[in-house]
Amino acid sequence: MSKIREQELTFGDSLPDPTPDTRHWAVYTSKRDGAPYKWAGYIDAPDAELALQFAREHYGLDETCVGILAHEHEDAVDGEYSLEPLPRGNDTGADGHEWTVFTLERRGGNHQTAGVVKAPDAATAIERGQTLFAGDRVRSLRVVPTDKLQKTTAEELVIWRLHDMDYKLAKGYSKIVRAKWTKIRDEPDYEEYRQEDIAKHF
Amino acid sequence: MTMQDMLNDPLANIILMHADDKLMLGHIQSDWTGLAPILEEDIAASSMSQDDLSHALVLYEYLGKRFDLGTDDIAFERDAINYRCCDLITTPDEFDWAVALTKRWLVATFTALGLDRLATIDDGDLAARCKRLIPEQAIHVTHLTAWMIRLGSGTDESKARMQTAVDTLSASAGMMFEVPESLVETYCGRDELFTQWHTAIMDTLTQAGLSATITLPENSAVGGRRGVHADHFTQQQSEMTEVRRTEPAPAW
Repeated sequence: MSKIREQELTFGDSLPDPTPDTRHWAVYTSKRDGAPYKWAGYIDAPDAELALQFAREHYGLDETCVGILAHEHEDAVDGEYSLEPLPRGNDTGADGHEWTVFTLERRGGNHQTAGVVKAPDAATAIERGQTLFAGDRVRSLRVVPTDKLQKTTAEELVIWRLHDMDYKLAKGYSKIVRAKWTKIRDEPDYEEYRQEDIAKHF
Repeated sequence: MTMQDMLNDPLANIILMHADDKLMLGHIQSDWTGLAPILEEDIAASSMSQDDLSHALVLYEYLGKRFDLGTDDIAFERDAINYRCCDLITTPDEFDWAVALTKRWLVATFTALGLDRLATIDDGDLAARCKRLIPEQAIHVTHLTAWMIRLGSGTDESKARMQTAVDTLSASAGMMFEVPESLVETYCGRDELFTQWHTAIMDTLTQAGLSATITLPENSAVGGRRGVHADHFTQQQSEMTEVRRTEPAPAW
């Protein structure tokens, strides 16, 4: 914060109420063309357009990203979580509208897109999804009506920036970072700082 | 080649206009990190500030190569009189989000048009740099335009606050079209650029239910683009360069 601007900043007695106009959206990102969309997190947004714009800035810049997919949280229906890999289903019907199927391989893991099925309702979509996408590792399925999915691609509007984004990829105390720090601090001082920093944050 | 050679060069002055706008905009708008109205917008606004600083760097690097100058020297070693940004950028927003948003939108729309023009100049390196920045600038314009329309056409309160912000800034928005001294005889297409920008701005304002009167300043107008800056610029520039002055040529 600029020292000049800090002086301008005043707060009233209380912070304003949170906006009631936003809804929860689930966000998935794809790292490269053709790769599945993997669950990235949630955002709050008032509508689909801003959901995608927020998702782009919030989750599209953590790592290389070529596509973002989002849906309102309430549009997702999750199947039961199984401790064992889900068995293959046998419902091969193809009536109804299209659902996008996401697979989950472990509790607390990330859902990722697997494909689509047609079904008249969510329960049937999960059954049919199990027929097509259950495997050795899949423990649960999520289905979302495909027409409820919002999608953006790098062709429409870039996500991962085109300028040098290496600074976004800095991770921990790599050799490079360490070398830079030790130019500024003595090695023992740096080591002490590092230990304190690790203790504080982890 | 010296800093003065760069400052005398007409094309360099156009590039500096945009690069300095972005440097100062990124510097100032980053003050909103942690303070924007909602978390998601906080992240988006901070990301755009990073972009602005990075875009300034891309343009300074071009100038650095052409005039054999260090990038940091161009960004931080000039006296205030040699910065070509307009003073709209550093006009205080008093931490009023409507003012901050409107200012950023006005400038981003102008910069987008400016980069389009720079990309057509017969210089492969400059064109390639601009072509990398143009899609990123489009993100800013798209995002900011979406907010202008939503807040302008939102509630009575949001509309009133946005109209006040537009009224506050429209008197000085023309500053972006001031002409640097070295370009007075050679700067072509300023009227056309203003018309393009004005059309885009008015289109969004109409969709937002807002209005503004913005006029093109005289070619002879003297302001930030000629190095005659307001106090709010010199304060910000002084603070921005403080580390550099304290620790000359630090390496990271």
